[in-house]
Amino acid sequence: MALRVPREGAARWTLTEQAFEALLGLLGPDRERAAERYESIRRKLTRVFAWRGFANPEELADATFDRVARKVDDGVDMHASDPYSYIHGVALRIAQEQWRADARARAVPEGLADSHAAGEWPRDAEPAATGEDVERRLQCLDECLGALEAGARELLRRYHGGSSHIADRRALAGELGISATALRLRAFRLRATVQECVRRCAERGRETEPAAPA
Amino acid sequence: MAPPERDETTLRRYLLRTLAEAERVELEAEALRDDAAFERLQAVEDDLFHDYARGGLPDGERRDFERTLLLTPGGARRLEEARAFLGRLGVRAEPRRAARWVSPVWLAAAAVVLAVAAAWLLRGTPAPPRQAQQPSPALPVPSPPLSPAPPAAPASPTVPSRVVSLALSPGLVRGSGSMPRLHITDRVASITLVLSLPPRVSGRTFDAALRSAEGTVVWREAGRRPDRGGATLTLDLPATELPEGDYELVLERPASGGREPVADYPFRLLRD
Repeated sequence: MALRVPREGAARWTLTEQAFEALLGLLGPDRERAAERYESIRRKLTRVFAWRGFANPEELADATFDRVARKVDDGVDMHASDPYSYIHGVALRIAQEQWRADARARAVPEGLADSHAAGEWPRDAEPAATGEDVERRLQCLDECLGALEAGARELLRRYHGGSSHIADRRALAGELGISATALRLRAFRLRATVQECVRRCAERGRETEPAAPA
Repeated sequence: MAPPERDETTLRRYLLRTLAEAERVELEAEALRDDAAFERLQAVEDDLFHDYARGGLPDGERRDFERTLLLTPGGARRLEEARAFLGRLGVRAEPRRAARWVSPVWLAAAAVVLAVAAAWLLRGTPAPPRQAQQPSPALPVPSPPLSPAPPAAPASPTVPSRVVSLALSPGLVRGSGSMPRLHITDRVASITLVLSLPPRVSGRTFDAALRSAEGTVVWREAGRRPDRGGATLTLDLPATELPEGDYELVLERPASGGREPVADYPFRLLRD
């Protein structure tokens, strides 16, 4: 599986191959499974930092792992049975530090502060979509929705339609004989399936696109 | 033993950052450890995007969504995707709710600018198109509903009025007494809105859409530049095409994957 390449040239400490291996060791004896855990925790940490309102969640997730790896590499003893708590504790410290740094930067006169600290809206890293991209994605969306089973489409329509979300969804869950949580997850997974289908379809479209004339 | 499943309200409050820190920490720890708990959070997050896109969030959650999830990296793009998804699915947007949010940041400013400036030419000489006073967010004036400013030109019974101006700040309360009101007569041909832009909002151009209380876009203009100085943006609306009712002027700016909201400006149009 693809792992994040340890960053090189960090200001004070570099995540070495050895430290990274020690980090994986913390996540389990089986390297392959540990690597999967690493990716899973990193993905989750990225979301957690985003949910906490940081504009650079991936950076912060990496900073968390760098610090944990450093501790492990330094021989700090920690309970391997529950590395999650330790990693989360480090993530909270990183969040606190970032928050303080942002607060300090906000105090800097406007124009000198960087865009995030100045309260600018976070920008997506990806380039802006062109009109063609948007059109292609909409076509893909139609195709992918069309590829869903009729029952699944109807479920999504009813899940998102209706005048009262809470009452309507509860009634729908009752009809299906499942809990409201199970219904929410079913709708979420269906949407995720469509989303993934759209992503692949749009990528295929880009690959088959004739090259622009030089 | 697996931790007890969190109820939906708690998950929503976590995502909208209204949960107490101790509970947030606990919930995050669960989500990091337990894939199912994390997926439940993701599902609620995705619901919030779709519910917001459909206009189905209650006011409090809508306001919280706009200051939290919508501002996360990729948030604007996700909202556009949710809108497209619901549109292609054939789900109609709910009519806009009567009450709107009050941004804490904007309360003070909102209180203010309503005071505004409506340059109002009743029977006067046709006015130049920009008669509104420039809104001043720092102006410590309480915010009564908009009161028309005095005529900007000497009265002349022979010339019909043409332009009415109104200055607005974003995030005002709809459905309450503080909603700005604009009284016009049938002789008014054009309404000039002077929108006070939120601080530190950058953008060279903005797209504006006027929505009726039912959520229908009744007027739209793209690529408008802020006024000189960048603090305001002025728009001219065709008064003759707007029936009496509640409106919301929504300002957006280009973002990757579509547009992202900048601010909205509710007002009530009354015809005498």
